[in-house]
Amino acid sequence: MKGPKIGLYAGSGTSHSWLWFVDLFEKAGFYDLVFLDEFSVQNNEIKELDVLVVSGGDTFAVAKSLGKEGGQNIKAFVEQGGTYIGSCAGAYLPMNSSKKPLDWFNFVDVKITNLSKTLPLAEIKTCKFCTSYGCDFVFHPVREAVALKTTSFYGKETPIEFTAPLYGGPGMKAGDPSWVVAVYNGFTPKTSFLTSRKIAEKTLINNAAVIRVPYNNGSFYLLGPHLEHPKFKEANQFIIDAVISETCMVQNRGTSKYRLESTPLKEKITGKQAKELLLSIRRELSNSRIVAGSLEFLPIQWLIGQKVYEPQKVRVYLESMFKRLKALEKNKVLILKPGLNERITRAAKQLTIELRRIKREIDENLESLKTAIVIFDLLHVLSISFFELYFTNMFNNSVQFKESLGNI
Amino acid sequence: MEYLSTDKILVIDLNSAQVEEEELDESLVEEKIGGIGITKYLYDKYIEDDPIVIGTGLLSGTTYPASASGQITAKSPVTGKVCHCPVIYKAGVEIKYSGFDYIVVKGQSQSPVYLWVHDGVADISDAADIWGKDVWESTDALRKFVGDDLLQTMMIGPAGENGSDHAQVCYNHWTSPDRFGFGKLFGSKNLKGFAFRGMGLIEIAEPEDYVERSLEILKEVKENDFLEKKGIAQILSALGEEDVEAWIEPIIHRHSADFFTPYATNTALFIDEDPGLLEESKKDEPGVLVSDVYALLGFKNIGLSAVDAGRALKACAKYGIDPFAVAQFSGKTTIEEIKESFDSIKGVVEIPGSGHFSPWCPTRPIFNDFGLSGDDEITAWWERRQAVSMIFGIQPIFCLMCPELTEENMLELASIGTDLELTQETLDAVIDDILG
Repeated sequence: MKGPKIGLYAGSGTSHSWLWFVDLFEKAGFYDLVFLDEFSVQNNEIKELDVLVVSGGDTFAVAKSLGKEGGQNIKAFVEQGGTYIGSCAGAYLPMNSSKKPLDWFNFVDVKITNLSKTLPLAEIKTCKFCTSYGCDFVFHPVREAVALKTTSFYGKETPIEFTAPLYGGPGMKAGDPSWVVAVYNGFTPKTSFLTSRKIAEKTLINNAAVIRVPYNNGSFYLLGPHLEHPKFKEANQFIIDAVISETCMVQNRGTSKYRLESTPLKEKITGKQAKELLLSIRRELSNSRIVAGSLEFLPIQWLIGQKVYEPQKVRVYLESMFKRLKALEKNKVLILKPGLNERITRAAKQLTIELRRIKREIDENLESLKTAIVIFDLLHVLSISFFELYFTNMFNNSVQFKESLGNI
Repeated sequence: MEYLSTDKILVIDLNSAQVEEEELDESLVEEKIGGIGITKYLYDKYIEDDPIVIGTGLLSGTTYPASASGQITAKSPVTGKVCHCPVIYKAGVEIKYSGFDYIVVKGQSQSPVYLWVHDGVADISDAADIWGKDVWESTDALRKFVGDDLLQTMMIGPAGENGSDHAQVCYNHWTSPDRFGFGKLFGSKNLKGFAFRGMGLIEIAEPEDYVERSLEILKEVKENDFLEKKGIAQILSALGEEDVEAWIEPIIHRHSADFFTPYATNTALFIDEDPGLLEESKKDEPGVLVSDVYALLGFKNIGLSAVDAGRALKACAKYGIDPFAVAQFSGKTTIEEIKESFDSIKGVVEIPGSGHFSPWCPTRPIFNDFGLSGDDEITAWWERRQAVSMIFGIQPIFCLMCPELTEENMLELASIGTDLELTQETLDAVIDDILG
């Protein structure tokens, strides 16, 4: 099987959970990763992918950012044999909806079970309990680890039981029961109940947690819980198996999309220039994570769109990049698209400036929301650019390694 | 060098504003172990450039009890000898966490600079905005600029900038063990100081064994009765200055320990705030943290009240001047006169033994007698103990209290931690070299 080319949507509206997919795919040896923002989806850069991942975040914000054009491109991508994997917000996105801008993404006949006209009584007061949805409420009966069980439609003789964390994802009912590949099977000692246990059971248990909807030549995978969370190995394996089986299926069917093998315009930098680029990235990531660490001591959070962001989230992005620096620093030659060098250093420097600004604003009791919005935008820009650099080089190294094995 | 190490030596040339990195060779650790064993080696290597060498001990920043200290090695502009000054509080370990085991600073900058060392990056930064500011203002300004109150600094104040023989390199807001005039040396290089911050991790060859043995040693340490005591007044009592306790007691706010050190060797005095306050003070400058027992004693001996002694220590910390020298040589008896005398203090602080170690650290055992007798034996023991503490990175005052921290178990932990065979013979040779 040819390795899958996977695109991760990391643009506006996403939370940090796409970084979990990055870890997951890297561990599985999938280095052919593409990082997308809303413009790249609108420009249909997804057409050459095998898999498109839309992770958690603010569904409305993701839909608004991708726009009607983005929706049409996603639809065409799946129709032509692509696999869409949506986790949490990414799972809500392609469900039928009459609400704008979600109605640009009316692709699958799946309903959610955590929708109510009247808001259930919250056991724990938290802003993460519910989101308004027109006159109704999307509520979240539990958080943290829940138990899942695969159905007979999963393709294995005996059901597999595993756990995964739920952070606002849906319970689901599929238009066709054969689409359901895993259901919510119970709770765990780590499950945190935001409503009564009875309401939680009614909302989730035996309802769909993972759905696979066949769609022309491709398929939509909708994951209620975050199966990609790094602490849930069996759930992770579920995603890897899905990616491999879908890719194999499409390739065997011969419906695999014709991939242009032309090499995109890339440049090599070596020696002092490469060293300086990596040093400047290290410098600014360090400056940023130092101030981000100090923000974590402060009692503050920001409501951006419909999603609450805590300072801790900033460092999740930064650490995800910082921990990969050493591997990049081992490269004597760096391959990158023209302009990426400047894009990374500019975003990294600006991020340090904005983080230091927000620290001062908070220390002086000033309004900090505007700066927080800028910071999370910058984190997206920087991390997309950084991971593009990182995986371009990792992929190149793996290709060279395979070639060297071939020569032997 | 893979373990107990960042594997990096930083070489900064202030003349050319160039920063270079060298790898720390395992063979150097096998030969010199670490701490002042290696800072002395680096000093000799770069001697033509009159270097300042900053370092950490081989065990610094780990679970070995009291593995809190770093070191500054340089030639004292006052005594002309190569001296080793402990870096204490939380600053010592932050050097290693910020990504470098050793930092060599060569030459002289054309304009004032400070060195911002973080996560394996070293930036030579313009110090125009803090040159002329006192130690407190400089530290506060850098913490505000970087956006982190946990930033650890080594700074000089006006005393260092003005070339006072008694100028100290202060750590964060506080006075330091520097009795060598290293503050003057920093000032002569146009070096305002260092700011350290890092979130680095230290790899250990056999982590489970290392932690298990560390905890066993800690358990033995905790069987000492002296661990029921706290702070500087109790240290002075053990040194025969029993009346200090009653004198200082009314203004003691709290005691604090250096990194992972079982005895609180520092005492915070509240001089402009209620010492009984149990919440964070709303005042900007409620008091002073004291680690220098002889400076405190010195101010008592010239007749200051405990509150004024606190004020004098605070003024010294801000000005970046050795408070012991001020107490000994100012000849003044009021706080205002003392402050006014800072620029005119003359006198030579006596450095005991071979002159390499700071008498900030009491020159005899504390709380335990270590089976010693006679001045010569005690002095020889003190010098060896100082050398050992600064080779391995152990809090040097705690090292004088605690017989359970032995050369044998330091070597054992170093060997477990590095997977190298480090022997008593090697340690003896390193100490001989240091003591000259």
